[in-house]
Amino acid sequence: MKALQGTSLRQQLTLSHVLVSLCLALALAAVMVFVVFVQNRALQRKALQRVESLATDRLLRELRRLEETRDGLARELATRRLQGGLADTLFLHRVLSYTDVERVEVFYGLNLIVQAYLGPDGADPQLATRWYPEQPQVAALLLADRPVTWLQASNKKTVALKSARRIPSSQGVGEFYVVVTAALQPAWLAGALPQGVSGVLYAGEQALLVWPPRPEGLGSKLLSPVRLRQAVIRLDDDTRLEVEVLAPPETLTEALAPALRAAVLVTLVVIAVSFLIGDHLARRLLAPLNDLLEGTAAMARGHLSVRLPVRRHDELGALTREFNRMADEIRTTYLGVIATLAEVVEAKSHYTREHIERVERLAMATAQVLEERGWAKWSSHQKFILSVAAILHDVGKIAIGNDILNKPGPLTGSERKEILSHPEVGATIVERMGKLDRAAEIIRACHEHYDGSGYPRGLKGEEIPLEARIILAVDAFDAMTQVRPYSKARPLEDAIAELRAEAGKQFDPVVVEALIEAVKRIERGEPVTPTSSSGFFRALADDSGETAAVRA
Amino acid sequence: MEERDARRGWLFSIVSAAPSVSLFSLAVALLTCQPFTRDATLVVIASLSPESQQAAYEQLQAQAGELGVACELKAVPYRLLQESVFAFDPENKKSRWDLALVPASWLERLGRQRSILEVPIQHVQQLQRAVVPLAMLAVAWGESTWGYPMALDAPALIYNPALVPTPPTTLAAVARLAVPEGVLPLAVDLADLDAVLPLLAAAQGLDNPQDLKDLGQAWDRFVASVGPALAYPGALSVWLAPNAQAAQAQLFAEGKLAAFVGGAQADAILDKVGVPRSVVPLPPPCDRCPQPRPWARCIALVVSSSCAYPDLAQALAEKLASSRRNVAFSAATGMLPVLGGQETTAFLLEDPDKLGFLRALGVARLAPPDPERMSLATLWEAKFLHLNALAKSEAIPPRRAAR
Repeated sequence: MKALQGTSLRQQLTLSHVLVSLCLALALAAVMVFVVFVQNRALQRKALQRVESLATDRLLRELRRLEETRDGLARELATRRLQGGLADTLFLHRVLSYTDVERVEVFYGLNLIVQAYLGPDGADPQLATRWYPEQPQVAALLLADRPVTWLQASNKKTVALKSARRIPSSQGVGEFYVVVTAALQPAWLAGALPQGVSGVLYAGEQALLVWPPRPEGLGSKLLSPVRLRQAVIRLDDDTRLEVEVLAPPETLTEALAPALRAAVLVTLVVIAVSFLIGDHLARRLLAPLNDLLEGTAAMARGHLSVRLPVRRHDELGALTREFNRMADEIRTTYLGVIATLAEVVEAKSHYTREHIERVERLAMATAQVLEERGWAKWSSHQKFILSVAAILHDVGKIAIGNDILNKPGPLTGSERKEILSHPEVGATIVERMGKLDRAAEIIRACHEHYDGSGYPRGLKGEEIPLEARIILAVDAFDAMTQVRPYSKARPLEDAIAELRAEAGKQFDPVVVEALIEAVKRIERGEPVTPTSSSGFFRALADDSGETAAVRA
Repeated sequence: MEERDARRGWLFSIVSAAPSVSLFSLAVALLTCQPFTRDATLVVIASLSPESQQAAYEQLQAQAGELGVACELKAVPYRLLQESVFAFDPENKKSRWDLALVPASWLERLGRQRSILEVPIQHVQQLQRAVVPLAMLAVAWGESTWGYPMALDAPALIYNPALVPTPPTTLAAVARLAVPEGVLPLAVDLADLDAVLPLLAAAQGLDNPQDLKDLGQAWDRFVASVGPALAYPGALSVWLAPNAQAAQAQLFAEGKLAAFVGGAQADAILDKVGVPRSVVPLPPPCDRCPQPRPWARCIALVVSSSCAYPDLAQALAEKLASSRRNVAFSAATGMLPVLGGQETTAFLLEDPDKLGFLRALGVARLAPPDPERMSLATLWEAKFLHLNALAKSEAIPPRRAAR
């Protein structure tokens, strides 16, 4: 879990989605592979049953053929007087050319008198019939006039199937027996086994014949081979011949490979799809949280007009609504403080509420004109700050005594110094309100002149914040056009002329032109401020009744 | 702290991406790599005895293992081998074998029907460096090489030194040997064209069987030289039978035969029973007859033109023919290795019999390719059937065992 601490909530949600999907996909894949495995094994077993039956049939056929050859030979030999010489050997060889056995032996009693064999397998001395001590019970059965079939396994390489019977005697000179021998042929199994299937011929528990030859042994792989074993026949030496067929694990692996591939592909597709879906869901789920995060950050930066859209009707929607309510309360409180300060300024100076409103409105109209002409670009927050600064531009006068502030005559040096300090005092007051540093900066520069002749710091040109240059021009224009205790109202044209006369000296020429345009628009009755609620008084107007009461 | 978190975020991204990447890699591997699903398996078809099969299979497996390929040996009867390799469907171009061990005399026909692949020139060059020229000639047809020679053999005279005290100079001398009662002086497998036709040609005073015009006359001359040896009651039918070599070997092993004409494969039977014997190249049938030059036998591995892995199959065959493994592989077939060089010579010198067959190979010549060989075989077939009819006048089992 520690690894997740540095990750975003979206990543965590996406990952959890992917992991759940992966688990499901893997489980599904495992089930699929298991089903295919089980089905395949069943199919293999079924196929092996057919193979086993075929191999068993072939072996039985070989046994029958051997016994038929034995009987046919016995009948042929019955017509001949056997003496064991060259002629008999040649005769047996002629007989051998008509059979498929490797060796024919003729015994008188249990003594070999003549034999013929094909090579090189038939020539193997290990294939010569040995009655004692290996097969006394077979010898006994034969001497008891019973046809017998048995195995003679001398070593791993030569395992022979033998069949013997008495030669019907028409000569009356003793008992002759014929023994035919066929080496166990891998072809007996190979003919029945399809490619990929192994066969083993057992005598009891001894593997007589393994085909195809596998020097490394059978069934040594991870998966056990499918194997079937069936008894073929019980021979006269009490040996039970059994056939075992095996489908090696490689065959199963080959059969499973497509299923495994499909499983991996399914898993991969599931992961890809679940990642996309998970990411999309996480984005949707976390959108309100991100809004809240951004809103909180904006509030922290002083954006008091933040209001978040309520997109959902769940807990996150409720949280958004609560945030909006909290933001409204903070804004109301804030605007209330600002409004109170504005009231104090009104009460302290000879300004009227209308003056403050006019300055604010005209400043906003001028900013709008500047923006329209492409000379400036304002965000709503910047406009709000301009609005606040316009309202509180003279708040520093609170600290100046009324006698100085309303003195009709010329000011003394100290009085003048006190008056000139009011921008700093105002800026300090606004700064202490918090989140209004920019407004404080504007207020501090509200009496700086474009040519640097202003106060308190003698800034000039672009060093003066644009908002301050606007407020200075607007404040001067309003002072000129309104009746003051110490002066009459001047005609509009005079005021404009005065503004133009002071452009580049006291005022920023660009601001002057924008202000004149704004004034003209107002005169023409055109709307000059945008419909957005960026202005302070509009913000107040949007507020609750409580705020409205404060404004009243 | 933020830096650590950012690092953890990266780590998390990598860790979360790892399963997807590994699964994707696995999927790509599964989809693109065929070896995962199925290893290359080469099916070799051959007509070998069970014991030879095992030995040949071991050599095949060992060599295939070195090449990283699986190998399966299908041992079939000779007739089935013939049917399998010649039953080629040029439409479907499919055969159930990848490599076949066949007599080199089949290569021309197989090459004509395009059921086998030509040996690449780089393999031919390697073979020429490693293999004796006679073997290379045996697998060449036209200007191409169609098989990888694996083993050589040539008919020779195998005799019992106890019954034949001095190396015989003529077959007639062997036939006139004073042998004990119940012992045959000489046997000739009359179905062995590689020995019989050169012997008949020599009896006629010819060097090359292809010059034989009248087989009846040649046979009469041959019988005039060795006839007494073939006259034993019942013997002729045995020498005409398909198992004549086995009968000769058995009679020889039991001391009932003084000498016979046979190849290294017949000698392999005698190896089993450990009979003392000597081997010399075929002597002329009579005093004035020229030295017969038997036809050399060669078996070769051919690659099916429908083989799914021809490169692997050809590489396997080339290695078996030109590496030391050829000595063991050819021994499994009972024949002589085709590999030249000191190791092979040392192997042959270990066994005086093998040396005799090597000398027989020295005087042997390649059989003419089909159809000349076939026309000679057809001529001999007529005579053979006639002889068979004569031999059948003796009592022969009337009933063939059912199979």
